[in-house]
Amino acid sequence: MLKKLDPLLHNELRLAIMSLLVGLESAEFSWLLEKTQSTRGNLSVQISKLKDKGYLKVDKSFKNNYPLTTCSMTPIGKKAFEEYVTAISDYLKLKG
Amino acid sequence: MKPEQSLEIIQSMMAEAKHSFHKISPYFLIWGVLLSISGIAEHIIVYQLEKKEGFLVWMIMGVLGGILSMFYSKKDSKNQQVKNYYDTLYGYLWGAMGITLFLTIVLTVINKQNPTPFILLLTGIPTFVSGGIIKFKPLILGGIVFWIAGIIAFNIPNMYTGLLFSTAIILGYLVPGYILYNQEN
Repeated sequence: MLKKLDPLLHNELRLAIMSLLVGLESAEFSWLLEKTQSTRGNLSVQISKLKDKGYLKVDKSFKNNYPLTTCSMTPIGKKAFEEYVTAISDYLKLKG
Repeated sequence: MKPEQSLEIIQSMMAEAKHSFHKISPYFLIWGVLLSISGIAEHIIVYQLEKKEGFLVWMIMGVLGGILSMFYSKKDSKNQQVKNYYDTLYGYLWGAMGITLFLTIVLTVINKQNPTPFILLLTGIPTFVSGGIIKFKPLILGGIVFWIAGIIAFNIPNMYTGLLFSTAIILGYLVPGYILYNQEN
């Protein structure tokens, strides 16, 4: 039986954020903004949703006297992402 | 969103993140230039001009290399918005190399041994591993060059080990560093 896709990850922007972060230790908000080509507000909302579910860790600090937001993936997030990738692969195998 | 679209997002974003390496070629260029000069300078000053103080060139270049590397690293991390697992790995690898080199030099000099053959053999490890991490053949070959030079260094008179060291540095650091620099930029 096919696994149900994680609704939190089955969203274009949230999936993009997770895919960017999965191979990294951490990334700054501005870098995620540039890579996802999203708007500041939308990215912020989606990051908060991922953080609330425990998928992301968000750190606030300062860099050159400017506020800095850094995101990294938690082990829970990594597991959820892997399960999502497996589920997607299963769907595609079934189709193809 | 269709599964095909999901897969496309995953693949393209992961590829983007893959290109977020810190540039490592400047380190090879900095140390390559300084150390190749040191080996030649040692040969000329100590063995041709017969001035023992010539050995100091290693210390001067070592300190200069350390300062330049730190300066570049600080500047680079200011611009870098991403922290990669490889960056941490490089830090530990070359940090361990620095400590081992320092101890090797101190201990061999205390025991009145020429440190160069040992330094060459040791340098092979982080060079080879760094090349392996980024799958960059010239650097992997550079590591092998250091091991071969290390074997040769144990079998030639001390007065030539400085020149051999410079040759190994040019082939193992400078050439791969230059090729990598062109790729990274």
